[in-house]
Amino acid sequence: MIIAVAGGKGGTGKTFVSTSLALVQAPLQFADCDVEEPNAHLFLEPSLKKWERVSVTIPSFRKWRGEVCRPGAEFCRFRALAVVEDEMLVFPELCTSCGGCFLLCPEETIKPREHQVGVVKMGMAKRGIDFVTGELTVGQQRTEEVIKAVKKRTSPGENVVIDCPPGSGPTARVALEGADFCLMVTEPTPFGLHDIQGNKKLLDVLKIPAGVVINRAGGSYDGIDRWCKKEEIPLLAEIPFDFEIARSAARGMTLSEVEPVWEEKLKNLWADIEKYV
Amino acid sequence: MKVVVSSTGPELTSESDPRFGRCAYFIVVDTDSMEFKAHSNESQRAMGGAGIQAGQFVASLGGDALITGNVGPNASRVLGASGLKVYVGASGSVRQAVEDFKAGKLQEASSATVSSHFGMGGRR
Repeated sequence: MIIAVAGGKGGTGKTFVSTSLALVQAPLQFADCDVEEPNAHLFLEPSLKKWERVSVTIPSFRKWRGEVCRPGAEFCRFRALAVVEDEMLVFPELCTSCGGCFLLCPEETIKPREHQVGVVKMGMAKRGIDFVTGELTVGQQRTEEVIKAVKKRTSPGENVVIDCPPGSGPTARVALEGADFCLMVTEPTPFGLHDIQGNKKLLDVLKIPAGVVINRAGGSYDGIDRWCKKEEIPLLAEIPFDFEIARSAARGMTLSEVEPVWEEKLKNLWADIEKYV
Repeated sequence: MKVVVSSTGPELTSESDPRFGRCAYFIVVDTDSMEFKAHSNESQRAMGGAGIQAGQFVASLGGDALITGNVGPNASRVLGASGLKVYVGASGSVRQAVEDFKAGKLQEASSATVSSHFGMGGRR
């Protein structure tokens, strides 16, 4: 079973919930797909011994030969290739690796080249968790490619917890694809409601069943509860707004490590999720 | 001498545009006769790579120099390859920018003066 943990924005508690859930259900696989800001390793403390490059294919040419390929450059709607006077220029960060320029260069003036955009790191974490994380190289924009590379390192058929990037955009979509269930983590605020409504729209398109976890629960706002009832989305857990939990989380402790009572509660949460899959 | 000025409108009286890739018009001006021709900038609303596309277009206009407010890193690479001299810091009307250029008041830029996406407003 693949459980993805998603949420509207940074700081709602996606990583806290996903690592806490993974820890009580260990051994399993954990994939940190928030590759622009990976931080699950702070909670699960893996020893990341194995690293692999993530590369994409971009155009290259032999500058010293002074050749240009105008059809190939003009084809690129993203302007990753330009011909100025008699010089060809490549802008790797604008390339989407569509490969069109190669097809339009029968003389092979433009050739494919590997361009590194990130790295995937693997190792064993707390309680025998098989941990995979990805890191987008600073200055690169091919987030989805790094997420795909992380997911490729997970084994089909096993229990996997995926920590998703925030939001409901393309990066979240790539992280969510193939999941059996999604836990939407939110705070009990109108902003939080708005964010998981966006998540839900995406999950409906992907046909992934979902449940809600309220983090920093308490206070008078009941909009999340009412929305869950109306939409018939299970409200699976509420983590209280508690100073000790916040302080310990900031030191890299998961929920059951702060309050042992959550060991049982999170195991029940996992069992609940199994019913919806 | 022929110069190309980034502009918000198609006239010499139009305000010059501080953005290069996403300006509305490029105006080619003869600095002696002040005769001019306006070309609308096709990359104004480009999804991405506006500076690169605009740089290629300006290079094809055959001027001796470009007068604009700022250039980003990608546009700067294209303009560098074109051999076109780039003068930044233009303000006021297109006519004013050309006068300032003639008086030597504008600074020649050999590298980018702003970061990527400067001309997209708000987010940088």
